[in-house]
Amino acid sequence: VEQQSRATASAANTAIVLLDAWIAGDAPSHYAASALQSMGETLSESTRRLSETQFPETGKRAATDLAAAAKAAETAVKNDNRPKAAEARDELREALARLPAADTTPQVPN
Amino acid sequence: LKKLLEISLGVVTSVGGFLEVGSMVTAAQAGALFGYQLVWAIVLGTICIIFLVEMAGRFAAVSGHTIADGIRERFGFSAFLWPLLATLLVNFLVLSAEIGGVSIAGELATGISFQWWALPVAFVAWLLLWKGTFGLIEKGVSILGLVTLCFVVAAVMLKPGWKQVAIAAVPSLPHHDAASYWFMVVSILGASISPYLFMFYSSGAIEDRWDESYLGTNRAIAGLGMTFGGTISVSVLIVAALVLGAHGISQVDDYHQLPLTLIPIFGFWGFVLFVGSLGIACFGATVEIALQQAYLVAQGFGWTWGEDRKPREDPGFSMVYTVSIFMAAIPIALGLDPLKLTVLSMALTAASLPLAVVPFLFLLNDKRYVGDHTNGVISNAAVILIITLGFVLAVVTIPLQLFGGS
Repeated sequence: VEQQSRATASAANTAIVLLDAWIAGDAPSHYAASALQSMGETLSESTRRLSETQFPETGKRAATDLAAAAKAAETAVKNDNRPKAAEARDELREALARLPAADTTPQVPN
Repeated sequence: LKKLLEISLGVVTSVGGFLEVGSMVTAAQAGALFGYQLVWAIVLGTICIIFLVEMAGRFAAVSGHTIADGIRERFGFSAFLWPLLATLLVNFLVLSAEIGGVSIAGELATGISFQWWALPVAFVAWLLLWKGTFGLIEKGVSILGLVTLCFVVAAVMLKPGWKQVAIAAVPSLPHHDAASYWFMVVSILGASISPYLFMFYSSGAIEDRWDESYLGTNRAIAGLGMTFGGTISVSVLIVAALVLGAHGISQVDDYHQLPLTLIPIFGFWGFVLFVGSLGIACFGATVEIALQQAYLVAQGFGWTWGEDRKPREDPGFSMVYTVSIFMAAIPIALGLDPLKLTVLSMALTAASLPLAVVPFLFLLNDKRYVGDHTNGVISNAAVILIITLGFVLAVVTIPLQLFGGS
């Protein structure tokens, strides 16, 4: 469960960084859309797997919201709609904050 | 001055040709999940490959034989058959992964799915082998591969804690995800100590007509070239730790995540640099591994071989690289995930190491081949260490693949 939760967080963080890059004009649309589609599929699969476990209900809802936000982000990028993409990114951040044990940032000694 | 130029060109060639899909992916995965902690695995792999490349070059320069040639002649064809088959199989998987790497670069650049790129990539690589010379392949592609130095620039720009990086060069135990940690160690070592690398190097020494006067050049190229090459791999790891890891992207199991290593640093040019690095590095490795397959078979069966010959002068040699390259493109054209294939092929490369390295111990101590240039105590100790490491890797690879592989 913990590993699934971390995989979910990792995919969600990928989507957020991607959206940041696309909104800033640093990533081409075809790449951002394809990557978001892939992350959306990962998040949907994670949601399905987490739903079959003893994961807390709030976490399960957060995972569902993450998959939905990734889908919304993909649509926004395909439609070249930056305000909607920014909205989807905020939804991803908000849902990610509700995901238990989502903070998997390695302790980079710096 | 001529020797200095040769050394410089050799070092540049080694640096430009060092990074390929395996070293790039394994270093990125390691940096994202474990920060700097696995720097030691790259350092260890680089030290091992320095020794093996130096020995392969020395053997070729003094004996006039390639390593494959030497194994067949010294141990007989039946003993040579097993390393031949194992190396051909592992090389085939790595070749497929490299074609996958170029195909991913094609997809990232154009949006056209990677499957559609596999056969065109194979065709262009084959055309280069068919029409090109060894010098063009060895130096031309590798010099273009210097674009991978962008990872070193990125790592410096990120101002990592160099002291911590240095501390991470000493092996340490994992603090979490032990199975993944050790699987990554195996994959990094597989990516660093690729048999194709030192076998290709020994064939190249014969193609370039090295003799004993090249021993110093060989030592300099092996030492400096591989060290600088290893530095690029360490840079990929540092960048992944400070960009992906710091953004909470701990699991790199989708190739779409890879360009994000450079985009936050260089903006849109980061995307361009990443696609260029991946495409050129993997294309160079594709051509070299396909050529290595042909070298192996031709040397094993005693056929005429040489990339500078016309295909009609060495038809068997040309047929092997033709068949290898197109067959290796098929799994990618059918949609096999290049990233998963890369991770698997790197682990199997590590597992196949004993078969490729054990002969070094005999060949490099046989005065009939290397005369007075036999291995010293340090070189023999290094080979024994690599063989021991190879046996350990061979035993642990499959269980780790099951428990720690993605």
